[in-house]
Amino acid sequence: MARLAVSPPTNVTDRDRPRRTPTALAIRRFRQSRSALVGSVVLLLIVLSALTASRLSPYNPLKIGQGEALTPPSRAHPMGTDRFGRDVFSRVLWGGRTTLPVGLISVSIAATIGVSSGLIAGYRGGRMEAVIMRMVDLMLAFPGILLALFIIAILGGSLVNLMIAVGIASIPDYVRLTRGMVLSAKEQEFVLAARALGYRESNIMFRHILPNVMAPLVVMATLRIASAIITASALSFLGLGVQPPTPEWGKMLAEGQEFLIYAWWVTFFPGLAIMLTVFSINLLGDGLRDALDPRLRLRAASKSSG
Amino acid sequence: MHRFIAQRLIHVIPVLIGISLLTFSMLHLIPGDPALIYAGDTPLGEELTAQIRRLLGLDRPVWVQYADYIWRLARGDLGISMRHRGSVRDSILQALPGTFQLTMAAMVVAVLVGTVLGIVAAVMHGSWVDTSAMAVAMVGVSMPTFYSGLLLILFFSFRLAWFPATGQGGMERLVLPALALGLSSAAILARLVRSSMLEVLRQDYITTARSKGLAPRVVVLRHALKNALIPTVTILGLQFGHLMTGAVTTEMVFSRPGLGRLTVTSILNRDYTMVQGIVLFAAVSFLLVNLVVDVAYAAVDPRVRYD
Repeated sequence: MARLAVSPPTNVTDRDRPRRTPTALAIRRFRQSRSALVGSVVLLLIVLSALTASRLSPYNPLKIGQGEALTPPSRAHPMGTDRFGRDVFSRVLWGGRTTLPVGLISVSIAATIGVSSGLIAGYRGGRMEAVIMRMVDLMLAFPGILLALFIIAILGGSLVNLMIAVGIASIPDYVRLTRGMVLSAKEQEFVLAARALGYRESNIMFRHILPNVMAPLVVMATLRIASAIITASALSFLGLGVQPPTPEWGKMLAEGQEFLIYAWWVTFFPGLAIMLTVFSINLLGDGLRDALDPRLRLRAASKSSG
Repeated sequence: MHRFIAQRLIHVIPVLIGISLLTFSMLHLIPGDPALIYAGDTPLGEELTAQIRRLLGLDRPVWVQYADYIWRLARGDLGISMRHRGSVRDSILQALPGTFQLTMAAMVVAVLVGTVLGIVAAVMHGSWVDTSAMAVAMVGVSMPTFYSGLLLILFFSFRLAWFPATGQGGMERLVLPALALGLSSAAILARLVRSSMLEVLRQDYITTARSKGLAPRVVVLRHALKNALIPTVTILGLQFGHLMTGAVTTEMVFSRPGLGRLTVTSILNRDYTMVQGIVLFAAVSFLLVNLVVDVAYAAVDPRVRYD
């Protein structure tokens, strides 16, 4: 992709020369960023511990009375116990199995719908574009968490509805980013060539244009997993998402809130888990952005609310 | 300028119609019969249900109901609560001051902390101050408000007993919620101010100002800051929306009465007319705030024009 756009670095040694493809350059830039490296390692650890929760967790996360209620962190219970004597450490490990997929799936929903709408709007133009962009304007009129709240209010609170609500609410950003890039990409020679060769429209959109606008989309989707996790755990915290007794970080915070004054650990650790996860994804996303497209930093900074 | 405002206003109208259509359709999308929910979820006979439907106008064609809805909205009537039968508008107006106060205080925190952090980081670009300021900002961006709120309560209310943990009224009850809500926006602003400041500091006119021998403080605050803040102004409208809806979790954490709390309790009580009213109110206010921000932006920066 965009091979010509990459100018060779001035101080290349002979050893570097054969690997100077855009991908190799991106990988090198990514590896040079210490924060991106830290982010990926932390995230990897979090994902691994969620995946192996059944082996790692010392207790059953749902079983009541594993220890005394609300005991502070100790050797037996490294993060203490909650009001029902459940082991907080085990619940935090298992909580990742709810929170992480919620982030991933809601972003997939948003990206799939948003990117295809953006492609169609940008490439087709005309009435199709007008309809899609008016829908986007409408969705953007609901700030922050409001659209997700509205959808949950209609559908009711559950794990699946949570993913749908968070997913739908973040569609507009993908549409706008994709459309903007498609508008400039479709005037380029390779698209004109594909058109002259008589390729089908969907083929041009998904096989020719999409790969060329992929990098910024990957960056945005990565960063969006972080905000999706925050939104989803906020909704669960409010009692509008995952229902008990399923361990979920936002819900666990809410459960611990009333004991905060004498049992800080019940809220502290699940919250720390959310923060660390979001933090590592943000670091990773920033690193990806710098590696894949340094220009994005400027574009993101000058983004208007329009 | 007038043309810009006029075009911007015309742009708002279809969005307003869209918002009203969405909130209107809510009562038709919810599971269950609105008439029965009005009746308190008690199973009533056919006849009584029909009577309630007639009373609420739910038996009329949908477009008549929509026209009626718009007509009522035009008169400022948001309907009555499905649960306590009170006026939705009155409930919103009653809850509004608390949320407004919180949002404004959080905005002040965000702008003050964000700008200062961003400027300092940009001026000391590449130093440990820059690195640690940006690390702090990254933590701030990654911190959900309900978590920072609970940590603030834990530390400043329970350990140090400096501020009360909950409730409304008086400055001392506003500090912690405003901090909890404002800090994540402050972090976003800090990153933005830093990058736009770095951009501006590279410009020729800054070099000129420096070479004239002006004090660094004057160059940064008089010459650079003004231009660096322009992109910041545009996202203030967006941040206002985030703060407004961030008030939902903040109010729940600090047990403050307000719109956010009203929203959550209404959703949990399935008080759909109340939710409908709040969503409409919030979306329309957000739209108007952004309209004002855009016009102000165009007034500040003549290069901005509607396309």
